[in-house]
Amino acid sequence: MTLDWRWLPLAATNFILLFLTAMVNDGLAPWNLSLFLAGPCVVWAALRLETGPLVLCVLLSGLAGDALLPSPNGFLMTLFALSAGVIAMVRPTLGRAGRSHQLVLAWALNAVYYLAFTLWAATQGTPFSTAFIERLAVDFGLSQLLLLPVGLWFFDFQESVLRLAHLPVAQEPAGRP
Amino acid sequence: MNFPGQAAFAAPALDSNPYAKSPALASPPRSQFRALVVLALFLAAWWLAPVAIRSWTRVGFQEFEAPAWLAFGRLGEIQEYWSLRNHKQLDLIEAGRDLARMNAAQTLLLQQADSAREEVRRLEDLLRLPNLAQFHYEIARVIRRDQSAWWQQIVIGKGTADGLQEGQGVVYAGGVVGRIVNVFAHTAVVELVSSPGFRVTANLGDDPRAVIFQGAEAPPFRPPVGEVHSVDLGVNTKGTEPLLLVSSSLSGRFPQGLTIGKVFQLETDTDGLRKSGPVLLNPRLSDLHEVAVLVPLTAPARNPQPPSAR
Repeated sequence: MTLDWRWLPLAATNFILLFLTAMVNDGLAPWNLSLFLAGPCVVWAALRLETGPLVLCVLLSGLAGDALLPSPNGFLMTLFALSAGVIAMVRPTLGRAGRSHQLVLAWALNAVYYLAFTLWAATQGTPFSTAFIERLAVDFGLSQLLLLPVGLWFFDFQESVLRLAHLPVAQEPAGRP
Repeated sequence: MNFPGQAAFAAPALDSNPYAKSPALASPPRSQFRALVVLALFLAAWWLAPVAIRSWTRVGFQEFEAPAWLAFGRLGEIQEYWSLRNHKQLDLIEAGRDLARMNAAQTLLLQQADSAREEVRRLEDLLRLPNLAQFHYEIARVIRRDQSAWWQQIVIGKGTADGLQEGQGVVYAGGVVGRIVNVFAHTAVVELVSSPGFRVTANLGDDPRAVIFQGAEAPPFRPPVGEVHSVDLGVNTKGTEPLLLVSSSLSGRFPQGLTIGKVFQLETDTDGLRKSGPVLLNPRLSDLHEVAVLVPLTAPARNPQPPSAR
């Protein structure tokens, strides 16, 4: 059995998304705003990869993302792994998920990740002041709003990279209808 | 792995979903749990792995990503260079003239600082006092600013290779920036003074009594803020004139008298014993491009014993 090498470019594109988000946040810092766009990272991989390559993709993407964040090492990877596992479990019921399915998944996952990071911040002693809640609401709303164009671009980007690498885009995991 | 009665996928229509149509296939088969189980096992192995392995991977990924961020920082410098190149020659001549005047004024201030330092040294010798903390300023470029609702930090382009260590204070022209929380070979992460996790001993103006400053969350589009606690009941704000909050040498991280922020109002705490109030920080803190790290000078102590011991 040969390894499905699609995990590698997919992990690289995930890193590019996280890196670009960090660059945008650098520019937004003077306005006291920041974006969180990790939602689309594992969606495509979880819908198309077998378990082995999916674990590798999650490991590399998660740890690369964790290196950009001050949260405990492995926190983002854990979120990626759990969400990828759940998507892989329900993927037969999703059929061949089109862009709309992928966007909805990315949107939902981004919200879950945002909540997880907020809970982690709460455990670090961050007080839930009015200013904190206002900041959370604005950042979250902006991130979810931008996820629509960014998600569309990102899924197309992932498929373009796979085509450039001469890897199959339409290949589905075994057992898929 | 194919399910009974299923053909291998052969480019079916995008909306085909036999699971939804067939009652027998409506629930996911057991094999579909495999990915979740494998990922859960993998996570368990990760979190049970020795801390050394986890921290090694973090450092490895940080070091791997560092060149990309350093290149991003360089890109900013090139951008700044070309924007300066577009200035008219007359503008540059005027800027040079202004800088020369400022330089002359700063030279005079430096001379005064030198004589003050000598005076402090002479008094320390005379009174046999322990040395005041002294620092060497290591200038560093800010290569990334990350100021989310959860954390407020910047990444600077210097690290252990330049003598930086965790815990060292960071300052800029407007006062205190924060402290180093993570240091790598060529980069370091600085927790900003506006971060809710940042606490430091400070002084209100000339008042020698120590107070505690803590960073606080600011709403969007507003300047960074903090809070001051443990203020003595006798300290009051003077109308609309703010009290200047400055660093205290008691912290051991910053020299005495560096600006932290301004306090416009103080209110008595619910216990009635102390006062606290909001601190307005410099808006430039959110738009830093260059900072200085305070690297302690490890000069041998001249008076290791306090006078009482003698």
